Amino acid sequence: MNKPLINIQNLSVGYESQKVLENVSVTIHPNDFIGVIGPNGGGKTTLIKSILGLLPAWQGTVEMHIDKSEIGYLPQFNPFDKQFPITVEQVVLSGLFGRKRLFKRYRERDKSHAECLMARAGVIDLKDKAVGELSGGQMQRTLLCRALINKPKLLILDEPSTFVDSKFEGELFEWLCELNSEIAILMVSHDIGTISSHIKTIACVNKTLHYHQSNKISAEQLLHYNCPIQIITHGEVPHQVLASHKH
Amino acid sequence: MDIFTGIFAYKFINHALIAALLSSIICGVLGTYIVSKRMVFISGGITHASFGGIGIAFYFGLNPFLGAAVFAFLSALGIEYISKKGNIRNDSSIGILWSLGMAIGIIFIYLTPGFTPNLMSYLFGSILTVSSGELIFMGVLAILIISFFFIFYKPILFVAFDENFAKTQNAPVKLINFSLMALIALGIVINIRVAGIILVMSLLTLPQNTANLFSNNFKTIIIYSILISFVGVMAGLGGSFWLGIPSGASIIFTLALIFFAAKVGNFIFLKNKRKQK
Repeated sequence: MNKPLINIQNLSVGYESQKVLENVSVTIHPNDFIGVIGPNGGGKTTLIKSILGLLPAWQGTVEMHIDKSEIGYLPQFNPFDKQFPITVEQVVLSGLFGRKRLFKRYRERDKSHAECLMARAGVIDLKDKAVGELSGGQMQRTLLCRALINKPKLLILDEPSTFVDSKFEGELFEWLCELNSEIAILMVSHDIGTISSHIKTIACVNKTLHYHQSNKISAEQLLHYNCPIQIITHGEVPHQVLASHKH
Repeated sequence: MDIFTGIFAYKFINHALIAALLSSIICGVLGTYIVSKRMVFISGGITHASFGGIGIAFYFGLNPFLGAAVFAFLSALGIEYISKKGNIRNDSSIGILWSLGMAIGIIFIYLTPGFTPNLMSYLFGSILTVSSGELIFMGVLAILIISFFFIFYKPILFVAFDENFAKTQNAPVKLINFSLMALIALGIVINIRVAGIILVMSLLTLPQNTANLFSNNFKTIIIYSILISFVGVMAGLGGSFWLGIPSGASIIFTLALIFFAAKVGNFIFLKNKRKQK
């Protein structure tokens, strides 16, 4: 087995007095492609925030074997101010922050790398546009470029398909599979059905975490783990399960 | 006698001119940040809270600016601290410090024996009486702000746009926010001399919003804001001479006129453009 990138041990974390995650343990290895699923409010985003060091752990540890800046992060769309005066290209280049010293100028190489990514994501024609002029999907693609420009070792995606149209969704997963040959990917999604053929393993998060060492969600597994999610798969076992964990 | 008044007039017009230029630079840069980050009301809170410092300084016979600066800075920190730790809504904590500062100011000015000179100039501004010492302070602050934004342009922009992402990239988010808060507090206090406590907020918002009609680029908005602000301040000053009205109010009124004219112009322009398509 490869040396792990991140090792989470018995992590409990929450906001103010409310505990959101309890006793979560999971290890992320290079070349992993983990789908994180679970109900809204189950703690998917909280898990990501703890990995990114945005939330202090109450108990347990998040052991990092890579630098925080080696994680590419695509946040959910909503927290942005659409009127902020910043261009698409500036947003993409801001992903280099972790590498560059604070006041270093960009080099030609950085700019051409950014253009390469923007071309692939289909936002190159928008490069001088302000973010306020973008649609949700275009914004998401821009943020994906920002997450990738630093050549991360781990890519974390929080609901990447929320705003992306179905045409780009196909391209996106193709791109992710390509990337996955070199980097680990952790992807939060509420509908695992559409992605289950791309991901390798599944982490089911609802206050605690259950790790499934395969991308096949069998009826048996669901029965066993009682994952309280709505799953629509294209396989032999189409089902919707809406129960909660019993602990 | 004629020569004396001539020189005197020349000198004070000169002072006002330099003050207008420096104030436009300070407010143009800080205001663009404040408007982009939606901190207009935080700035309003800081401005009004600083009145408490002015009152206390009057009472103890200290320099009112020192008092205002200390209060402005403490309230800037206080708003953030109260909202985060005290579990009070951000706009509520702004409101609390806003009125508390004003109340402290009024109490101490009332207790100060005798007549308090210049009180009106703090409330409504008086660009024509800005002293050489204040001009030097403004100049130093303008240079400080320009260099800070020039050197740290990218981090300032990225932290303001997406603080969480900046944190994941190991950016010194707290240090940048703290430095900017300190600069904003100082910038506001020195501009109280120009526009007054009640009106200084418009110097930080009107030119920037006018500039924002023509550009969506942070840097360009800064440059346009400085130009618009300088033109507005000079025109407002001219209007105040001509009509014999207070300079602070005249300046803000002019800036508002520019904004509305630009807004209407922009609206007609966009409508025509849409028609052509």
